[in-house]
Parts: sequence; C-alpha cells; structure tokens
Amino acid sequence: MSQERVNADEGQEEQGILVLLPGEVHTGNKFGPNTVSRGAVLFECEWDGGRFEAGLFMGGMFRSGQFVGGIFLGGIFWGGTWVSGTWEGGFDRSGIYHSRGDIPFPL
Amino acid sequence: MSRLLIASPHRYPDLARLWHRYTVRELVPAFERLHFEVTVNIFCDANADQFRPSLFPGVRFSRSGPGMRDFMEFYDATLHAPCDFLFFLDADTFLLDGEWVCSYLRAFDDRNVAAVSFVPRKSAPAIFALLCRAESYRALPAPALACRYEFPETWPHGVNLQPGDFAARELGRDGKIVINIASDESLRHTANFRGTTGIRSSREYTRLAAGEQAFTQSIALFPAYLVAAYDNILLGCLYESLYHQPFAPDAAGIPWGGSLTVSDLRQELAAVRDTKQLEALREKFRQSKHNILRMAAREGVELSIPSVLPNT
Repeated sequence: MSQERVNADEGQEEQGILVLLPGEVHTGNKFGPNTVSRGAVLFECEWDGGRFEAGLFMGGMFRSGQFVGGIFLGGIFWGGTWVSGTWEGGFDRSGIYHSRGDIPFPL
Repeated sequence: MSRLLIASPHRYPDLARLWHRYTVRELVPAFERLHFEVTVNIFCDANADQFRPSLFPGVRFSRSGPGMRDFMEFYDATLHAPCDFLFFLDADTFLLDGEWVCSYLRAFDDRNVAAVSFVPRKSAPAIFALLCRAESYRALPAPALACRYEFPETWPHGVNLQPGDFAARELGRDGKIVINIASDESLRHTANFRGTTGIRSSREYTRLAAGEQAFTQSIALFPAYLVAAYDNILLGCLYESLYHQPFAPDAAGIPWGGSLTVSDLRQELAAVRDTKQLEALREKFRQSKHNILRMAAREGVELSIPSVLPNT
C-alpha cells in the first residue's frame, strides 16, 4: 500500500490540507488525516483519518476519520465516525454486510 | 403439487422486460408441465415507479422496504416465502432451455441435494441461476445468502464472499450438495450478460456523487466496463427490435446514455493500445454477439449490430 499519494494534477493543497475535488478519480491510494474529499471518486482506496465530505467511496477501507457526506458503496467501514451521507451497502469491521440505508456500527 | 418461486432483483425495467419475456416463455412452462405451481417475483431494487405491471403479466413485484432494503436482503427475505423450491435468477441471465433446467429436478430425489447452480462463477457454484430446495437454505443461520468480507483486517487481501457463497460452504459442512453445472454445458443453454446492470448503476452513483466526467475517467480503470457496455448495446439492439424503444437511455432519452453510447464506446476502444487486451475484448464481444443472435433467432428478428472495435 502506498503512502498518501497525490498526482501533480490531482488534489489541491490548501494550508497543508489535501482537498480532493469533483472530477478526480483515485484507485488503490491511501489518504491520511490531512485529506478532505469534496467530490472525488475513490475506488479501493484506504481512508485513514481525513474528512469525507462528498464524493463516492467505492470498495476500499474506511479505517478512520469522518464520513460527513457522499456515497459509501461496498467498502469496509472499519472505524471512524459516520456523521451523514448515503450508505448504499458495505461491511462492518467484522465483515458483516449492512444493507442500503443502514448506519455502520460505532466503535 | 410443488411450489416454485422464481426470484430476481432488478434495477432497470427495460432489462427486466427482456428477462421476463424469456423466463415466462422458456422456464415457467417447463416447470408447469411438471405440475409445479410457479410464481415469478421481481424485486425492484431501484426505479420502482418505472416498472409498469401491465408490461409484466403474472409477475409479483416486491419493493424496497423494511426487511428488504436492497437486493441482498431480498435474497434472504425470499427464503421465507411460501414455496418448496426457489430459483434465484439474475437480471442479466437468460435461460434458453427450460427442459434442460427441469432435467435436473430428479437430482433432488437425493435429500442431500440442496441446490443446482446452472451458471458457475470461476468454475464454482454461484447465485446467477440457482435452483434451491428452500428448506435446506432455511436451515442455515441468517443471513444465509448475503455477501460477507472475511478477514477484513487483512484488507485488501481478505475474502469477499459473493451472495450465496457462504450458504454453499455451510451446506457442504452439513453434508449437503450443491450441484455445479460446468461452464461448457451451461453456455450451451444460457445467455449471460454479466455486468450490464453494474455499469448502469455505477454510472448513476458516480454521476450523483462526483459528476459525469468522473465516470468517463473511471472507464479506463475497469476494462470489464467495456464488455458490459458492449453487452448493453447488444441487449439494446434486441430490445429496440422487439419494443421499438431505446435501451438504457439517459435522462435525455439518448439510447445507451445510461451505459455507454456506441460512439462513446468506440472512442474508449480506440484508446486501447494493448493488443492482448484488444484480442481479449474481441473474443468476449464475439461470445456476446453469438448469445444475442441466439436470442434474436428465437424471436425471428434480425439485428443490426454496430461494429465498435477499431479495424486492425
């Protein structure tokens, strides 16, 4: 797994915060605590500590951080805080599937 | 009289209409000839208001709701419907020979046989077309049919059990048997257009969450999308010839705009430089075209199928 990685034409740095914007598509990347998604698509990515405000989190591992908005589909919600957003289906940290409209169990 | 429930989750009424056409013509009569009481149940996983009952005579519809919020819960909820046998049949799976399916009913004379899988996934039993003895599956711990992710702590190297995989494993532990029809035999009697619903729903989700541009970018990441897009074009050719309506339209009504239009697919394929990938795509397209032509032949219609691959 790569460390937090940003292509030159992807993401915007705002005062040390990496902001992922609409139109960005990432696959297999890891994003750390200083990351905010404001509309990116993340396929099979690892999210560890940042704030997911908008976009699509598809597959992948939501290890920690806040899910505030956007769509969560088919990933593992390992930890972190579910604040708001659309749960379209995915797994809890036990690997149990939770259906559409569910809210992942808190830690 | 045994009761059979044919259960199928759908998101798109156009594909469901094709599925229903072949199911009630090829599958239902074959079971009825053997004195089965057959019910066809379509679960509307999305777009429920677009499924017009008049277009699906005899179908019982289920809608998303408590206890059946999505297709995954539908599978398990359906286990408790009043029936002796359950036939889970995917939206993009067409069984073209009901007599062939029914020829396997005698296998259930063995009480240890729990199911017959007519369309395998990677040579293993799958839920794509699974005829189940209901009581065998009801005896499993719930949820029996939902997918699971085993060893999530090892992500991305865990085991992603697909719907029905856990049940098949548990049945095996109890000494039960799931008969697995091999791919060669299956292909002679079925037509599968895997991923055709998936690409449409992916486009919906991506557009909703991140805009159209993001979906276009994602196509290059997933070669399977190219096959699914081509399969939708084939299904659309058949659909238009039968119903004179666009298939998989977008909000503006453009044919295939909810998947990939012919011109968009050509553009994506023109960008493929890997000759091995192109050859693999060519072979997949050939198989799919063979399948749609078999289906068209049963309808007595000729299809005008656009070429999409670059001439090389």
